[in-house]
Amino acid sequence: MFKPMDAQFQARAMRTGTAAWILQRLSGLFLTLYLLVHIIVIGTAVRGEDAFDDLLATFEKTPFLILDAGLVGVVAFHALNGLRLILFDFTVGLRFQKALFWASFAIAVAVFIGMIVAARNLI
Amino acid sequence: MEARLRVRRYDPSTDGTPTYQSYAIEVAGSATILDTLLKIREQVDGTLAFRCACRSAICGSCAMRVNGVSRLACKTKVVSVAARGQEVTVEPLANLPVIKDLVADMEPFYDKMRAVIPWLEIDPAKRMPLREYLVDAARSMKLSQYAACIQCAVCYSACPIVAIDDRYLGPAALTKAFRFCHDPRDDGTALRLARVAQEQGLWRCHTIFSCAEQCPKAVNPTEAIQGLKRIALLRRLGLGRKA
Repeated sequence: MFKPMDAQFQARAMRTGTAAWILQRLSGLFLTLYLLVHIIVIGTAVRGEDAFDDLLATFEKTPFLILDAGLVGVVAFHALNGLRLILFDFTVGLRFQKALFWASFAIAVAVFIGMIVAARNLI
Repeated sequence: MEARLRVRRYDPSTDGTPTYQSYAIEVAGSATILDTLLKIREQVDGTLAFRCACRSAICGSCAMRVNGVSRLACKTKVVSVAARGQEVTVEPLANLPVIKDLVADMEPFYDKMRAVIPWLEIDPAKRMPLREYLVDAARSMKLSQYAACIQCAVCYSACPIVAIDDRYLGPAALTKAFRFCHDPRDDGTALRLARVAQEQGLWRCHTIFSCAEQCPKAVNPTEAIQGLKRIALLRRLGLGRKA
């Protein structure tokens, strides 16, 4: 039986583990939505070469390139934190859950910045 | 030092919705939240309801939420949560019905503790040792970590999964189950897993570590639950040792 919403949203401290849990879900949701958009964009190819090229031209603009770098960062976080969770299921690293979360988060941020630097000529 | 508390007041028999009442009272610099509540009840407002007994983090009666974190009021100094005389919000444990003010109804929590067979289950057909039943030191140390649980329900209140799902057994009960399944003297693992290795039991845990981060006795329920998942999985695969 599921509880009413007001019970679910009682004041509750959010610490590292909870933040990791919520971020994993938000990043997963974001990637699912991205996949939908991606399929729709790629799907315009069936409407001919021009339609496809016109649409892709919009995505070559700076804000979208930054979003692209962000996408890679989100993928990196979701994958690394996913590995963290898999480790826990093997009862490995339970004592280092905070460090492992911050490591996944830091690497994801580094990947995002790295992508921006790598694509700086395009942006 | 002036302590300022914002306490959630609620009497389900007369009040429609909970309200918050602010108190300011002079206390010693070393005062805990419990000291402050006791002083308020003695000198300011005799109607304020809360539970306490030992005042030394042994009995687990005074578990409540302080600024959203579930903790023992007797183990929380006011200065540690309100550095510059800020107001501290004090609420009853989450995920449990409220009887009055800061007093939570612990019955659903105890029901779940009982459900996991929280005692040593010995197979009557087993040949018992003639002298003591020795448990090696390493295993004994491991068990003492989980046996340190004082059943204060801080973990139960901290768990976001219990908040969503009423029927989830919760960290304390699952830790108790692991404590006995991991005991070399116990023969009840199969019995216990039949009740625990289910959707609303073991497998509902998402390793959020909220219980481990807020437990006042460093029990680390997440570790216990993962250990129990491991036992359940190995048994299902036919690889489990006869405990």
